[in-house]
Amino acid sequence: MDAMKLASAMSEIDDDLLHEADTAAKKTVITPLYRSLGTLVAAACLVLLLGSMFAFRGPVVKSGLSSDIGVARASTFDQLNIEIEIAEFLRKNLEVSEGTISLISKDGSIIEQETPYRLKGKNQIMWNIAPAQSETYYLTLTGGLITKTLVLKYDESKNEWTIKKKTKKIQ
Amino acid sequence: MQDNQIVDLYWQRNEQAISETQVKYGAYLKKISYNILFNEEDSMECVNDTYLKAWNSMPPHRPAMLSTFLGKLNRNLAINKYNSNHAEKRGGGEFDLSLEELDECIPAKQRDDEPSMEELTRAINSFLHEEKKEARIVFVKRYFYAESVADIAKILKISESKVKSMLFRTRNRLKDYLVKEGLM
Repeated sequence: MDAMKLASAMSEIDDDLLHEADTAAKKTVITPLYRSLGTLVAAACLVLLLGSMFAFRGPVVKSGLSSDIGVARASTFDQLNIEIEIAEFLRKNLEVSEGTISLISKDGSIIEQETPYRLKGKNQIMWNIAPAQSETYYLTLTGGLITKTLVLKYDESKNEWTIKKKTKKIQ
Repeated sequence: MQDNQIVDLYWQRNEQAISETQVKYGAYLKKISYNILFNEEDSMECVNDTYLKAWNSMPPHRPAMLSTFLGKLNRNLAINKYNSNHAEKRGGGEFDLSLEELDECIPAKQRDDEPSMEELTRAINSFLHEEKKEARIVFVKRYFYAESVADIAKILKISESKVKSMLFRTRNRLKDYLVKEGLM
């Protein structure tokens, strides 16, 4: 027997093993990186001005990604489970353009919710979506005067899913 | 589109099944075959052959998980292509390196009759299910998907030396397991 036979035998290993390996990644929290003190001060002032706004500490994508400045990348092509931590004081509405939202409780149990969903307090949620590469998807969180949107899009040049965060102040 | 909808298209003999598969899994399949063949043209040919094979096997087959079903078809085709391309010597890609590593799982002295492919697959499945999750993931990424050590380390956020060390230990355990099971 040679290594090629062993490698060929690997072709028929169980689906759960393949799926586990394909979607595996360490939990990654993306935090904004302030490039300069000026930006940091401006950001702090903005927070003071707007009061108790909400902040994403995510997205956290468990499905094969690495983190970057405000961008998450996932290399999987099946189901994406995007874990997002939301810390804030006000109530806010959560809506997704596609897929489902689940609330993750402290004991780790996951409860699927219909959207739009009204969130209260600090939450950990999961956006479950089976995306197509040609489409763009949105998760929108609205509270007070601010709308924050996660834009999930396939980057063909990098062969990766990218998630970008957009913040908009409602006039 | 959801996987079950794509599978339904295959069962309806609707050619949109191919385009939907291409949209959702084209890059995934290309990556698997490219990691094995290390050649753009050959890997694209393999991906197209995978669509054809999927078309011919559904129906009657209805895969529980479309991604891994396609991945396995694609990998088998890529290995066949690899064998015909490299009848005399290996070609220099990640798959070649992974084969060299898997050589270490083969004891110098083997039993006379070779185990069947089914026996080997069954043993590898049992072995991997008994392994710790992280070691299992690293092993499958390396020896099914033929991902590079650097890529595995980056995705899992561990050092390359840790990946190498985990692979080395898992290979040794697999070798012992195969011997213990009487397959070598």
